[in-house]
Amino acid sequence: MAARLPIVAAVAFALPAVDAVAARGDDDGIVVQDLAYGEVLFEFFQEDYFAALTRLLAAQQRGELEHHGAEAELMLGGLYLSYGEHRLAGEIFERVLAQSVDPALNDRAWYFLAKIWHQRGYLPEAEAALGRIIGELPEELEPERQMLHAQVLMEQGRFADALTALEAWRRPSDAWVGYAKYNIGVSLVRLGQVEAGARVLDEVGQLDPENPDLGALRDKANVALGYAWLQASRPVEAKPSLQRVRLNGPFSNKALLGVGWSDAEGADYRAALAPWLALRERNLLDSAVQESLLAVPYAYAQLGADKQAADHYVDAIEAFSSEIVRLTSSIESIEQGELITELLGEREDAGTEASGWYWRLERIPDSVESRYLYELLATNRFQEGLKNYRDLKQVNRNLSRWAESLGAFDDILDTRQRAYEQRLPTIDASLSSVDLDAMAARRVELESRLQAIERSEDVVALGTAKEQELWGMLEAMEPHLAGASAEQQEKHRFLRGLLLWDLRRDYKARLWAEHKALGDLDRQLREAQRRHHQVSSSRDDWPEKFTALTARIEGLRPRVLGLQESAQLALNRQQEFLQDIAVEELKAQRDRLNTYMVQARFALASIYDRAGARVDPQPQASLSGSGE
Amino acid sequence: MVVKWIASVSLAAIAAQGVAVIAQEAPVETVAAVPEFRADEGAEQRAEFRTLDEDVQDLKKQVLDLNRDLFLLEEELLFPSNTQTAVFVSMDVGEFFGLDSVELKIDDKDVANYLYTEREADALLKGGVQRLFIGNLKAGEHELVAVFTGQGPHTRDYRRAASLVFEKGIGPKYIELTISDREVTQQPEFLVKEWE
Repeated sequence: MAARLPIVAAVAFALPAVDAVAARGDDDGIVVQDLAYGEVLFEFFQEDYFAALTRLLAAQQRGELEHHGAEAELMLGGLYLSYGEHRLAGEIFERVLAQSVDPALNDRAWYFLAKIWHQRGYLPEAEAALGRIIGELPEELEPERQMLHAQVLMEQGRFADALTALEAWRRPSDAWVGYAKYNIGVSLVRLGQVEAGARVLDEVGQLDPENPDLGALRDKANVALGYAWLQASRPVEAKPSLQRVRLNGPFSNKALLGVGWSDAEGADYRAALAPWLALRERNLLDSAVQESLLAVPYAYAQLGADKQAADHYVDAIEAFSSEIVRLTSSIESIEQGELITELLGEREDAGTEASGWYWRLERIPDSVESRYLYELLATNRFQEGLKNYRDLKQVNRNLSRWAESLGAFDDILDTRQRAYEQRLPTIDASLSSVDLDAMAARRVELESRLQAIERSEDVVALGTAKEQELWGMLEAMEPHLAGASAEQQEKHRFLRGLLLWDLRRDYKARLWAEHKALGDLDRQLREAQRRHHQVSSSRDDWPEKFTALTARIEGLRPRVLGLQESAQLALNRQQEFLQDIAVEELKAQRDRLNTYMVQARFALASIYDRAGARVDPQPQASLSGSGE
Repeated sequence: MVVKWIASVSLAAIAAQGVAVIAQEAPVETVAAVPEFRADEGAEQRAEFRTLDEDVQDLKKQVLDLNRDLFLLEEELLFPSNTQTAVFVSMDVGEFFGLDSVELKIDDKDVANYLYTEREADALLKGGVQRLFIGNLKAGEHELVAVFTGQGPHTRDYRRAASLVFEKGIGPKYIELTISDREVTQQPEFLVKEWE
């Protein structure tokens, strides 16, 4: 759906760095530089705002967003907005956007915030947010912004301001002209400028009849115009516009009723009967149809057809009574809490659906209560209240899961503690069996020996074991050479020279190899020291860590339990609120029917009185057969 | 007079609904989805809604903060940083590969076998990064093998493996498996990257 992702996408991704994500087809799409940010995006793109928020908050706490700090903050604002946390979103936008150099981003963020605030009935806040938009929004949003502005003003009863705002809107695109004009017309009528308002509404009521998309708007304008004239006691002007309303459209009932009244106001009761009789065949749930039950006998009575009038009044009283009984029973069932369960159905427990701002009840179940409440159920206050109720249900489920997990956390911690205790003797034994100091001393000794060899160029010291053995033998012969033959002396000298030659030849390479071996030893020694330190500090740190983790679990437990209690209370309050407004609506409908019934009884009694008062009763006039 | 009285009731209803229905019929889908507050609703009811709404917001914020703290605690308990090892999956473009599933083995043991929904694969394509696996490994050398299955070029079934021998030190170890497009060969490419 085109409107599905806009808030965060439009807000967060309007940042230049993240903008490319939206158009991932580009070769140089976003490079996620912090994995945690990528994880947040993964949840966000699946519209799981709660999970995305949790991950983002955790990442911020752990400092895992080194490269995406600014985007993450704006993303947080957008996610809060999507999760219905509009006040927090507002605070973040206030802070982050003030530093933003991108006015388009600023404007979009405030527009979406204004939209939510309007939906939730925070009208002054919505107006203020709209006031923070500096330039023009993109083409697809600008008309919505203008309309929203007018609506926010009208809903605060400031029709003159709304009118000024709409008139100042110089370039409404074709698709919006009708809606803007309709609003202007309604504003003018509300301001008492009926003539001016009627001219505008008349224009809307005659918009391109070839365009079926404008049908409902035309009908609505015509109905509003007709009733504006009726209210101004100008029934003749009312009729043409009411007659333009399509007979099968959603406004046809009100139009038929109005056409009847315009005739009745002109005392043409016979003409009035035609639309009213057509109307009384329609669905009695509609208030116009209910009124027709009273209007039909009224017309008959005015025409002197008292018998037909009396019959219709009796029918009306009967219909009203049954309807009142049904309404009373619906009120009772709502008071017993059945409405919400019925509305949410099995979806009440669906944990996978997206929460927050985008969710709304898309299909209203076909029950007695919901048929009476159709209009109420479509209103913002009910839908937004239902959204909160549903979010609270999710919160409750989330808290229940954590309450169970806390028990598991205890077990995990105990297991780790037991494992630690079991391993402790082994760890201690192996730690004490390793004498790192002695190893280090040995290494120092080796190094100084090598230095001594290098200083004295002791080539023999680096010889192989065989070479050293041979050298030892030659050295041992030395004192006895004086008594040896010249040939033996020459042989000794030759062998000594040969061995020394070999030792000198290999000395450099051997010295290098010894240095390298010493370096390797250093590294190994350092690694051993590091591991020794790690094991030793893990051993020493664990008790402290264990205490800290235990304290954290213990600290979280009352928070979970406390919030569970608050969430349940909030859920009950939210349910009561929804039930109350539903019951209030049904009671208003019942009160109206009761009033109609009183009117019908009163009229019926008058007819009977009239009949009884006649001394010499004349044959009753009958519309159908009197031939008048 | 009855006529006047009834007509005024009707008028009140029409006038009240007049403004209310405007946006419901606006030609743009985004507006059509949004119902409006009716002008006749009482200020008292609006105030009550607002009080409730503010309380719900406070509560949800507290629950979010609690979830953050519990998330952090859970990770610290289950995957201490000295043994923690996590494997992530990401996609870069994905023109030549439609991801169906990933099997992950570490040291020849199956540690994850994940089937992707369309929504998840789409979230990866848009730039999301999935944490496929988090677990505990001892310090030292380990081998990771990931087998990707999906639709390759020309929508043919495609199965490819990527592997990595890595050294697990004393800190947490993060490994990212990236599916990317290689324009030259018109084939997908499976890369493994170690994060510090």
